Amino acid sequence: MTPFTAPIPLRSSTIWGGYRVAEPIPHRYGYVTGSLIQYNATRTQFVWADHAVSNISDVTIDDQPAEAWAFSNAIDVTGHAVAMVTFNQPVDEGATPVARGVGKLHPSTGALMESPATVVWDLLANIAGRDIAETELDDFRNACARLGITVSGSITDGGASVQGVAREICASIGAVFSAGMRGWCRVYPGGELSPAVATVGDFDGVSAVADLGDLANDITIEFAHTDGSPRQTLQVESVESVARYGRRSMTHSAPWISSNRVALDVASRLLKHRARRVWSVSAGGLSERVRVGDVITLDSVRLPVPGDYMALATELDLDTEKTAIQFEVPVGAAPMASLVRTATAFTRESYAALGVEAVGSDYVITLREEDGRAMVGAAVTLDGSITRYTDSAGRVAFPANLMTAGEHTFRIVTADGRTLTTVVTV
Amino acid sequence: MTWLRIESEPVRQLVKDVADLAHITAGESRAMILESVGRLASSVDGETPNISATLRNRSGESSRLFSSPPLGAVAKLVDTSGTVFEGIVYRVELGETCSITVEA
Repeated sequence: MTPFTAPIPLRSSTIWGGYRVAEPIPHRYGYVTGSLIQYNATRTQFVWADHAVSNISDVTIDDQPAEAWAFSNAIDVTGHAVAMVTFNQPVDEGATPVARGVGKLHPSTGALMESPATVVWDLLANIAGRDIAETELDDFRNACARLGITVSGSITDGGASVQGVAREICASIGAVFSAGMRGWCRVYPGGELSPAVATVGDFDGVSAVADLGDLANDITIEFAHTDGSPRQTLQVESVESVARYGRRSMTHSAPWISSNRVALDVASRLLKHRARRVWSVSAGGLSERVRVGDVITLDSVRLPVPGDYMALATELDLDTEKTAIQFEVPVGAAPMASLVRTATAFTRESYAALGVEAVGSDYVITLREEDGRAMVGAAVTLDGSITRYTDSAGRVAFPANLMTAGEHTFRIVTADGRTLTTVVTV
Repeated sequence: MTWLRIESEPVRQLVKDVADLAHITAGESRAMILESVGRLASSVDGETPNISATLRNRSGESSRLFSSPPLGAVAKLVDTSGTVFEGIVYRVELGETCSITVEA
């Protein structure tokens, strides 16, 4: 059994006897993209994951589509199942092959593992070898299912601790993990609360702090990571909060999200919590043994904001058998979240980025080259119907009524003749 | 004599003693709960001018006023000569006492 604070016991490519670079062999979940690891000396066989996977659908070499390759779930020289890509021709020295596919399957049901609860359980039970039943995460699984949250990502860092990766998965989707929590994980903020286990009153040494520096009303979420770099961003804001407190921006890294829909849900939940004033409350001397994730009822003259709140930290004094807890109390109604823009990074051979921003009754598309220069004079065709040209700032506007909610395809012909196509979700 | 005026909704005027009441605007909410005001500090190397005021809260007086913390509201430290310092409420702490940090 691996301790929560110990590094994840990922296998290394050194286990194959011959290897090019010593690196951890990843575990991959959901719809995910990641680098291939050289397996044989002739550079024709590469491993994508240290387990069987559902499928590999695309392979690129230096961001260009690869040809003549085949995917197989194979057995490596140690007798361990791996997801392998075999090329007809050796891959050039220095070139980076990358595969996109559908990751790990459940060891019992064979279903794709994309629920955050299932991935955390796989990490804790199957990779770290801890004695944890999958049913222990049922509440978290159900909470994620109600919100439609799925995850995609890779465990690639053999130096990261078990709890560090569990926390990263949870933080990505707006949830929390604690080894001291019943059920291990909770959706927070914005999750449903369980019944309260204790009441915090005036005899419990309540103190509270509200700090303007903790407020964020302009949140950009970075997601759809490939080898550690986000390929998409999504920005939401609270117009009301910005008007009241000035713009307070924060960036939330979500390496375990690949879906626009999930990113928008997470960004909205974070904004509704962070774009208003929040008391950080400490209370001590509780007789009940409250654990992290438990819910308490606040009923105090010291902080007259009664309600039920989730304990985010606890400390049990074993001499006095009293528990001290910390929790957060948001003040006022949750603000409305407005989608400001989405942006997608492109391959380095094409151009650096495409941004979409709502301006009045238009959506303004901004195209930039890899070096950040505006892409001037490019013909941009929306859904094959209407073509407009970018201005000197690389911008082109389309009426919002032509870009209703959903996916839209842009065909871009640059001034120097390159043709690019991309899909943007509004 | 110095008092703290917070331009929240409603405006709060927080004074130390009865004598201060004669100087403040009539008709606005006022409370005699100001215990002390810290030093007004600033430096050329980046310290933002700020003050910290301590209010009484033994019976929850401050908690009742600030359960909705007036973060971002304009706050002024005022004496009989006028405004000594003006900033925004940046941090509020509620406990045995109440501490309000105002930053320029």
